[in-house]
Formats: sequence, C-alpha cells, structure tokens
Amino acid sequence: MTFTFRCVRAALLALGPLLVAGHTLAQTKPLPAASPAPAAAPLPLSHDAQRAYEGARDKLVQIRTLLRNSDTQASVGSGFFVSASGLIITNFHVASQMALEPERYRGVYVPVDGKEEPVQLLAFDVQHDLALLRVQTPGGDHPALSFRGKAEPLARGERIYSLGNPKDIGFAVTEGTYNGLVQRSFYPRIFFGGTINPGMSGGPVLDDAGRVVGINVSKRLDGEQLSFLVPAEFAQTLLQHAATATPLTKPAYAEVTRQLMLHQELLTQRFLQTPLKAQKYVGYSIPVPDDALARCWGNGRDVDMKAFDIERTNCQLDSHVFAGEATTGYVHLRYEAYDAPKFSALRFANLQTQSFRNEQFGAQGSRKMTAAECSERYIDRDGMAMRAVVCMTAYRKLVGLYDMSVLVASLNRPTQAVQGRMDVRGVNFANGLKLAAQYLDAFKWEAPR
Amino acid sequence: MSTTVLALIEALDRHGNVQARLPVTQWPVTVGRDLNADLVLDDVHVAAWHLRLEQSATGCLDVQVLDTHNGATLGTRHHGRDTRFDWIPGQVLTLGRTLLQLRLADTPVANEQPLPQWQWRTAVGSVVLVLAAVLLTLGQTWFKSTETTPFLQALPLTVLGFLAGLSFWAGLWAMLTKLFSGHPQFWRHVRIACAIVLASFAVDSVLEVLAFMASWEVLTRFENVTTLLVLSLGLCAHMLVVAPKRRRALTLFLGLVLVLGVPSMLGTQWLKNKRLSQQLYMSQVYPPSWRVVAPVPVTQFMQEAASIEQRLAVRLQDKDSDDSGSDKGAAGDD
Repeated sequence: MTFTFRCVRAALLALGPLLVAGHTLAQTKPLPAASPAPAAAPLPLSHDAQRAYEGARDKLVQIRTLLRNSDTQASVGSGFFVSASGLIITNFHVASQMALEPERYRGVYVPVDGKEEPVQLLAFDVQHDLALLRVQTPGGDHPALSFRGKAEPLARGERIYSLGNPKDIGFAVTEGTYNGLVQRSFYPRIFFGGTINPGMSGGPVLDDAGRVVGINVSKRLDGEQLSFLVPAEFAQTLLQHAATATPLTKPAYAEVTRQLMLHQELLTQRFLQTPLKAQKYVGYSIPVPDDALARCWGNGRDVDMKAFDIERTNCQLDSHVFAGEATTGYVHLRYEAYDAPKFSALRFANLQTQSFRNEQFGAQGSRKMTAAECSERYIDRDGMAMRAVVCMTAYRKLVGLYDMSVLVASLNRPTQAVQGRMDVRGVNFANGLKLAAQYLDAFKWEAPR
Repeated sequence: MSTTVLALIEALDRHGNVQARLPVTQWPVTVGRDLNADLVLDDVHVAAWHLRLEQSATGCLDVQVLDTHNGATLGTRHHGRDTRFDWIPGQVLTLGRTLLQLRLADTPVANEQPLPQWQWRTAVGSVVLVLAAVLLTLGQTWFKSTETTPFLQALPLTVLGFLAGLSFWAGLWAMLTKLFSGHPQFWRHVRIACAIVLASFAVDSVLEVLAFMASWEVLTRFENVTTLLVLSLGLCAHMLVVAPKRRRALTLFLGLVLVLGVPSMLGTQWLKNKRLSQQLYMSQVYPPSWRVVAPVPVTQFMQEAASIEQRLAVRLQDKDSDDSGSDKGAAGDD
C-alpha cells in the first residue's frame, strides 16, 4: 500500500525513543526525602533560570552507561538525587542497557563538580520511562530535590526550568513554559514549551521554587520547542515502591516483558472498548480510531489525477513504549480508498495491485524478532468480499509478545476499492487476533443511493 | 593429356573454411606437413607424414595412420599410429586441428540447393511477434498509469526504448551467431527474444489468475522459479541458433540449470528465512468477478490465523535462524 504521509506527523524521537509508564519492582516504605515538600513559602530570591540551576546543581548528575570491558561510554543521560541515601531518578531509556545487558554494561553517575561513581539499578517503569538508581558506595549525605505535590497543579504558561547535560557538553539549564498535558497521549505527559536536547533525558524540570514537576523524556524533531516530560508523580510512585529494592544484576527481560504485558492489556482494552469510527467513502465504511484515542491525518484527491480519485488516512495511537529492545506498544492504522469510474476493471485491478503488493511484513527475521508468519483468505463482510492477510512476528527475548499486522482490500466493485492496514506492536497473541478481528469486522459496504 | 580425377580431398579449418584441396588422379595419396606429401597441411598438430590413403578392394578408401603422435579421428573414433581403417565419403576425418572431407568420383552429386527465398510466413511471424511484444509492453504501461495524457506523452519513448532493448539483445546474439556459424540470423533472435517476453508474461499471468480465482496462493510463491525456467529455455533457443550442432550440450546446460539452479535458489531462500519463497502473501489483484472461491466469515479466518502461533513457536525454537538482520549497538545521548 502506498500510504504517504503528506502532512506532518509525529516523529517522536528525541532524546531517545518515546517512552511510557508502568509498575515496578516490589517495594517497601517511602523515604522521607522523596515526599512532596511542604507548600513552599515565598522565596526571597529572584525566580529565574540562574536561581533554578544554582539551587539544583549539587543534586544534578550525569548518568553514563559504560562498556564493562573498555570503560568507554555507550550512552549518556541525566538524573537527579531524590534521597539523601543516594537514590537517583532518570529515564529507563538512559538505563536500559544496564537493565537488559548488565554483563556488558555498567552505570556511573557524575555530579556537577565531582568524580564519577558507580550506580546500581534498583527498578524501572517501562511504561512511563523511568528508572531508579542508587549510588553503589554506601554512606554519604546527598542533597536531594523534592517533588511538587499533586495538590499544587501548575498553571498553563507557568515558567519551568529543565536541567541536564546535553550531548555530554556540560550541565545546562533551559527555560520554558508549562503547557498542560499532551492531548491524546496514552499516558499523561507534560507538554513543555522549551528546548531539551539529547543527553538531558532523565534530568529534572523544576518550578520556580526548585521543586521537581517533571522529568525530561523526549521532544519532537519536526517542530520548535515541542518537548515532553514525564509528570513527577510517576517518579514519586516508583521511588515509594522501590527505594529499598535489591539491585538488579541479571538481564531484566522478564520484568520488561511483565510491564509490557500490562501495557498491551491496557492498550487492547482501551482499543476494544472505544468503538472504531466509520469513515465513509463512496459506499464503503472504513474503520478509523476515535478522535479521543488517536491522531489521524488524511489527504484527498491529487489534482493531477483527473481520472482517479483517491483518499488516504493515517492514524496513530501515541502509546509508544521504549523497551530497550525496541520501541513498541503502539497501534497504527491507515487506509486508501479509490474510485476510478472511467477505468476498465482490469486496469483498476492492476492499480489496486500496485498498492496491495507494496507492503512489508518483516519477511526476514533479526536477533530480536522472528521472521513473519502469515495467514490469508477471502473473507466475507456482510456480502462484501475482501482479501485479508494477517502477519505476525514474535519477539525473541520478550517472550509472549508479538507484532501483528493485518492488511485487507475490498473485492466487491470493479472500479472502486478500499485497502486498509493495521499494525499493532507488542501485543500478546490472543489480543493481536482480537484487534485484527475487530478491525476486519468494522469494514462495511452499503450501496450508495 | 587429360587425366581422370578419382576423388577430391578438401582440408578445412575448424570454422569450415577451405585451407587446401587436392584433386586425386592416382592412389595412394600421402597427407602431412612435409613438402613432398601429396596434400600439404599447415597445421602444427599434424606430423610430416601423417596418413597414407589408398583405394581398397571394396571401393572404400583405406587409411593408414603413419608415424604420428596425435593420430586421426574418424567421426568420434580415434585411430593411433600404425592402424588402418576405412574412410567412407561423407565422414569427416580430423587430423590435428584440420578437418578432411572426401568426395569420390563415382559418388552421385547432390541436388542443387535453391537459393534462400524471402519467406513471407517467417517475415509475418516476426512482425506479429514484435508487435505482440510491443503491445504487451504498452499494455503493461497503460495498466499501471492513472492518467491518459502522461501515458500518451511517454508512449513514443516506451516503444523506442523497448525496440532499442530488443535490437541490442538480438544484435548481441546475432554477432555471436555470425562468429560461430557465419550468418547473423538477427530476425530469428528477435523472434526468440519476443517469445521469451510473451511466454514469461503468459506463464506468470496464468499462475496469478488461477491463484486469484481459487485462492491457491502457492501458485504465486515461486514466480522467480518459473521466470528462471522460461529464461533458460529462451537462452537455449538463442544458443541453438548460435551453435545448432551443440544440441546435446545445450540440453545438458538446460538440465543443469534445472537440477542445480532451482534447488540452489530455493535452498538459499530456505537457509535465509526458513521458507522456500520470498512472497509472504498473494499480492496480485484481479477484477472481483474473476474470483470463484467463496469468502469465509471473519471468525473462521481468525481461527485459521491462530495457527500462526505454532509456526512462530517453531521459529522461536530455531535459535540459529534469523540472525542475518542487523542489530545496531546502541550508543549515544539519551
């Protein structure tokens, strides 16, 4: 299918892949230092970026992932102390190599004015892209940042300050505005109107009083100052649940898989419970996700194609989760609809073929994924014949998770057709088939009056 | 004083060009590189005194192989030093790299061969084949185009491009044919090339249409194999024109392509992806009215699709496969 994205679409890349939320390891009691600070009394100091940085500089760290054999850097990110005992919050995508390949990678933190020291990974929250680290050397009294409580929501337009170490150049502070939560994001995510750069992932974002309101996580590359933060409450939850957890020393694929299973269950439930919207074209009824669930971009007829009408739409559910292995846990739908009354049936079929054959399903495997296996059939949708293909690939290390794709093309009219494709990344097998069935069932043909 | 010619011996090179000819007026006749031999050959693989020819009592020619290292070959049979054999007119006798042909005076002269005539049937056949191939090319372009004007604008270039490609291909084969058999036979190669194009399309189309009609996806899985077969047959046809006497060698070539080429193609696919075909699904669509098999309910299709789980489980167990994909090491800023 030659779906082309003519409009700007979310290229959520950034400081790393987009990530998301979840649960973590078993926990114990919360730490006093992690609790929200009492409602701050007005500070006599000026509220500017310089103040924010000065107040946080001794609590701010760079997180480096090093190859155990050579001590060379594999990746860098940022983090911050959240307890006097040396607990550090950062992103999961900063610490994912420590989690999944601890035999190859180790982590260190580097304070603003200090030497690098080893850290241990205690827990992570794949869904919200958070990780909890602890300094390896016991003792010490680390100054820690406190969180702004949920009882004090930020106002849209309020100044906030993002800190981190961009591109390993040096610690920096950037100033921006709080713009509420991102619309249609699967998990809550703060829209930060400011600049964050690679290397700042995991760094804190502070309010005027120096309290943590969010954690740098990603940005969009197709715009200016479109950055995203993980709300601080998820870091607090992780801290409360895992502050005294045992450090992870073995590859944590099982835990990542467990969290991804929760995510895909949530995703499937939400998708199945939200009825698909019917997009009408000629006499076809084509399923697209509800506006509240996903973003869709469409385009209509190409003015250069006088004898051939085509309509395309792409929809994406922003539920991406960075799982170390890959970015997964999302749904993508697209369709093309054609109407060419002046064409012969054979010529129309030839054109339809060009779109239908131009689809990729992972015919070749990799170390992470198996090659695809497919099933195909003519299916009946209330009298409308369609050609349907379902292909799935399995994650090799995230056992029980699959990528599922379903491709379908109508075969009921000589010179009109619709062709749709749905891709679901990171679902269990049963949910993959459920979503495929729901999608196929939603196609309909009603002869135009 | 007139002498009666008893026989005519011609010495030819490997391309059939006459190097020397000897009208025989008396027997015996000697053949060799020695200047005193009756038939002097300029071939380094021939001895000074290589053969002695004498008429036998049976009317055949009695050949005596003299002091030579390489001996002589009559037809496919080799004769060494100090042997004798009969040489019947019409058989080719090989010495070194020289071929000898024999005509006896009493051998009836073959009928006069008519000069090649303009073959209307062949000419019409050539034109029809070229036209059919051009129309096929235009038809395929037309079926892939969405607008008439751009198609018409590109039409002259499409036709010229096809004809140029066809001429180049047939021209190459004609040069080879000229080299080996003296006549280029350009139009014959044109006909073969057009036949390859048409046959390839026909085979693919028949398989695709059948697959579409009855949902026999397997028919479309091996288009590269059928294309290889059609191409091999076409190449054999070209080569038969170049070397018409090598029919056996060419048959062997075709056999080798089938025996070695097809399994190696399929084997490579199998080793790479643990499947015999690159095609994951039937991708050719034809007009809806061509479908004859009935569609099934979505629930039944989903039940069938459940078999994917088992197939993927087999792939998961195969730890060694699917390692060809890239797996970039992560490095950078997060």
